Amino acid sequence: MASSRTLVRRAWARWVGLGSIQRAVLSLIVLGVAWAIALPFIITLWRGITAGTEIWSSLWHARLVPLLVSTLLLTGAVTVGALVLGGSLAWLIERTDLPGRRWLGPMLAAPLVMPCYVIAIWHVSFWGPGGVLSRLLELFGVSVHVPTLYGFFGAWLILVIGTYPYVYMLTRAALRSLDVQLEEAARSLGVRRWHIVTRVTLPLLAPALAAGGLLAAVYVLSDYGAVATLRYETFTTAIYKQLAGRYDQAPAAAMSTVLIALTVLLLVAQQRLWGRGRHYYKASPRPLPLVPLRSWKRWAALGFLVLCVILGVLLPGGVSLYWLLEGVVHPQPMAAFWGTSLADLGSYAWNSLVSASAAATGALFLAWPLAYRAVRYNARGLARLSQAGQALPGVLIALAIALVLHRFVPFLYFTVWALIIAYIVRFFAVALQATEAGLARVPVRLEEAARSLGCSSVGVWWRLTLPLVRPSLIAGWTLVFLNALRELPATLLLRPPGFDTLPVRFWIAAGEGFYAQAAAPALLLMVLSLPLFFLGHQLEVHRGT
Amino acid sequence: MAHEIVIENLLKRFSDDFTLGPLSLAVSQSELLGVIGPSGSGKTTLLRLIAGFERPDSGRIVIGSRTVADAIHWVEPEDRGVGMVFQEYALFPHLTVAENIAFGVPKPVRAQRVRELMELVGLAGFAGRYPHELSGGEQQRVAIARALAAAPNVLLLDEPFSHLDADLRPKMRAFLKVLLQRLGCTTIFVTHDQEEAFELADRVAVLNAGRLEQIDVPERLYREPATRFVAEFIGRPCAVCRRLMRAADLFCALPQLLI
Amino acid sequence: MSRVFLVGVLVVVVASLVVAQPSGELVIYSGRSEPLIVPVIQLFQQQTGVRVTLQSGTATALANLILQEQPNPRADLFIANDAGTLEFLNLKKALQSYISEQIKKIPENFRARDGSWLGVSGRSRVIMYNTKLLKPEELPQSVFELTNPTWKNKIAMATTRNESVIAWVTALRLTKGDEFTKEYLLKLKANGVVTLNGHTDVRKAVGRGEFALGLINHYYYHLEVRDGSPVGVIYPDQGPTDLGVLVNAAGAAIVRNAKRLREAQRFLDFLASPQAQKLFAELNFEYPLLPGVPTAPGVRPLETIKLMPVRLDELGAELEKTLKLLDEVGLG
Repeated sequence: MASSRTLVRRAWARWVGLGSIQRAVLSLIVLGVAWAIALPFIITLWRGITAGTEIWSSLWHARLVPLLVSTLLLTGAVTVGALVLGGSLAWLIERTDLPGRRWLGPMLAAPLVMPCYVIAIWHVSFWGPGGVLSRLLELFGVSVHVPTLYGFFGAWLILVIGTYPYVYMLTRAALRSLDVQLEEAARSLGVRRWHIVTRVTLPLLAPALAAGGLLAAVYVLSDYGAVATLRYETFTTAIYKQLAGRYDQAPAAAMSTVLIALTVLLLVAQQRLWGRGRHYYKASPRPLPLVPLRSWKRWAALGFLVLCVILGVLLPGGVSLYWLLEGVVHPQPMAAFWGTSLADLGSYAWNSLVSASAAATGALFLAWPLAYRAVRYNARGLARLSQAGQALPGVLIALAIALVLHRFVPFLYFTVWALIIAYIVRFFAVALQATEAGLARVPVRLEEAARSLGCSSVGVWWRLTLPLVRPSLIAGWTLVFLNALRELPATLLLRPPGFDTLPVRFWIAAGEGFYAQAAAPALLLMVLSLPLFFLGHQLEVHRGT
Repeated sequence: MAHEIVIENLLKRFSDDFTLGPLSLAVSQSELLGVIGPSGSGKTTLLRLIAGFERPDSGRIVIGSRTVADAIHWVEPEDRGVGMVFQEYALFPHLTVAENIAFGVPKPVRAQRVRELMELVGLAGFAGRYPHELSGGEQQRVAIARALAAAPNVLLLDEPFSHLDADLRPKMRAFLKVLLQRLGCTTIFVTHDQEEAFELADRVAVLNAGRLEQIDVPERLYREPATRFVAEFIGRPCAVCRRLMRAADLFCALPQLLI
Repeated sequence: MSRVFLVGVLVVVVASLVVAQPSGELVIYSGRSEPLIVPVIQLFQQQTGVRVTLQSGTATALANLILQEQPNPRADLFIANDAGTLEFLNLKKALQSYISEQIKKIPENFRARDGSWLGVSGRSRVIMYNTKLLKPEELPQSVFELTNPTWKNKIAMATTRNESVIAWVTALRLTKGDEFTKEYLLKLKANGVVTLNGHTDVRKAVGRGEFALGLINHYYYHLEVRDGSPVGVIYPDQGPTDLGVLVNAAGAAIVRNAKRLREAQRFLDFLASPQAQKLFAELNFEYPLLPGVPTAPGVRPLETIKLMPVRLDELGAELEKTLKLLDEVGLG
């Protein structure tokens, strides 16, 4: 009786005496940050819901069904494609004795270096009559009709190329941390190889596959650049066109509401599945046995891998170089007005770097209190709310931010800060997830042990928590940075006049058909992403999550 | 008594200079053979060779009347009828207890057999749970039930008790002994703890650096060690006293285990 | 290691703090495609020393922005590719008028009477074709022939979000009536007309032979010829009883409450000046609107073309009705 009373008193003292003020402050900060970051989401949703019955009914009658069909068709087809491609590539790299796996492994993840719209535009300029391919063929006197890449098939192909790396990387990590004994156990129970694949391996990979597939699906829903380039209409392009070509924004708001609903559904599913799969993976006691590929299978698999590398990396990269050379060899009269001098390129690159790194840093700083509260106090509601940004296409984030800033913070309107805020809102979920994952790996016991060794709370943070969380922070920073570096739709709308980034220069030049002038920003963008991409890849594979 | 498992001149080389064998031994039907030795002596490798997860470089393995591995023959693990309980149990994390146990059972008899086995290992009522919701002892019992469900002729156990809490071990040991005696299944189990082997096994094989030092009944092993290594490895004081104490434990635990 | 990381983070933060906010003296929102306007702005900067900050985008999006930013606009000047958009902003009271001697030299039908906007360059709505795909005798002579099954799936045009397309549809409505126009557009749609993201896409697609015909502004034809593609041009509806072609004006206007009014006025005067007019004519093959400035060689002079009987300042008031009709048609 007495002892239980002391226990209660002690708990009370811990709650009130120890850090109650800190806790309150933390809660306040978290409250502020979460709502601020969710604001664009709320505004967009609000505008859609209050759009009026007339707009909703006209949307319902005229456009909703075809848009839903075209959007879901593409999303479904790309997701399936990315799953099959990413999953089989991961399996070939991790589980077979294919020659050249060492260098093909990272190459297969390399399409992530290029934004999807860059891949799309270079592919479009490669195929089709008058494209790079037919020009090259003409050099050899061959004149054939090369088909174009527009429409559903093109959009599907490019988006699969752009999104399979998500599935591929997650599946590789999962394959690495798969317990080899599970497959052996299944064999000792008399189950044959192919049944093991369907009954053991695939179900165990399911959470990783599902997480990757849903990432791909969410990407397709929010993608603007690639889909617009390939002349396919989805909700995102329809919204963008409505905003760019009409004065009445209410229909766009209504369409956005539908799109948001779709995306939120997918994101919730993703978190459920990924959470359930966590205990599926642990370090395997010995490396997984490799499946030997013999004779034709070996060459077929190798050819398949090389084809993927060609379509995803070599072709877009090669076409960029082709256009760069073309611009040097046949300079156009208008080229002088395109700002393609080295100094101009330098300033675009600097703008991109600064805004992206500021966004990455800012996102991590803001994510820290939310992640801390979510992990240590298991209070995740506000953290979930702050991830709403990832459900919004860039255009809508930009519009909502422009609206808020112009009305309430006019001195930030159309400044670099508006852009940075948009990046933070859009990619906050990435920063938060990375920080949460890192903090979850520092047990409270460890901190308590350090305290018992006479370390102050600040000292614990500095000497213990931060170093342990650092790999996750670096990974989170890298991911936000890479995403912000290539962000296009929000940048197009929000950039202050005269502040051009590499993606903007690429997009405008390519949109006017000046491929030679678009090549330099595209290549620079790839080069800037490259080292960080490898860092992120390394972390990803080593961490095994 | 007929030999259930015969191993002749078995040899397996690994790239890191470790070699198992050449090694010969035979296990009779329904016999319970314990394999002991320090870590790295090749105990687990021996089990994996019998189960078919490794291919021997030379030598012969016969299970029942069938040669499962030699220079000409090779039988895949799934065709050997050998059940295995892995060191960390290797339960399928995505399946429930019932689904784990049912994994290797043909459909027609599945429901019936799963029910029987769950009762046999004392897990009735756990059918819908997932492995990560179970304690170590419960997980082990699921692993044993799963291996037995496929009705194997031979059961292999790899360090079955090493992941259990110390106070749980004697109980599980007793349970296993009773169970195996009842089923009459030929069993090889591997352990680094000679007490465990002495208590459970009909005969004990001592491995050292990939070579079989001695194989015999526990008493003889203890009284007449064939080599210096065996003498040192098992020659701990009062092992027999302990064994007696374990027997007493077992005696006390028996009624509640047999419910 | 952790110190290095933190120092790195701090450096980046500080660097981003000191990023200079680029602010030119004169802020221009331009709805014209960038390469067509940048040379003019560069010449203005050279001549006057006034620094210009340019924001490019689609004209309607920028017009929306201008409306949203009232009464405290960032932009001083708006350049649009269509007189209708300018007049629309004028009706919404988002522009302010300015008339000078230089501006008065531009013919009155190409500028707002109250001086709220100024037409700068003219463009006619024509059809371009691929000479490898079509022989001269096969060519359509009227836009109304394009609904014939002959042209099924062979025509490209810019999206109906494009201001030049919108103005053309408004002109059709004004001359032929709403019913006729809607039916015509529906027939075009049924005939498999493909709408692309912009006129550059259309001219490139026709140049490459993806489509036989393209509905464009006349200078896109000349730009495609300059790129070396096998294309020709048709000025449709030129018969004595025919409708004629629409000549629209790209123009500029000063935004109401503009902060740099004087520089904006100087810019308008500059646009009406012979040098700027010459640039529009030579670089972009448009019709210079200042009398006395010659059109570029090869461009069919305005005087030889039969025009649609539509006044440009009528387009603005009809804009929203046209948009409604276009949404009903759903041409993309």
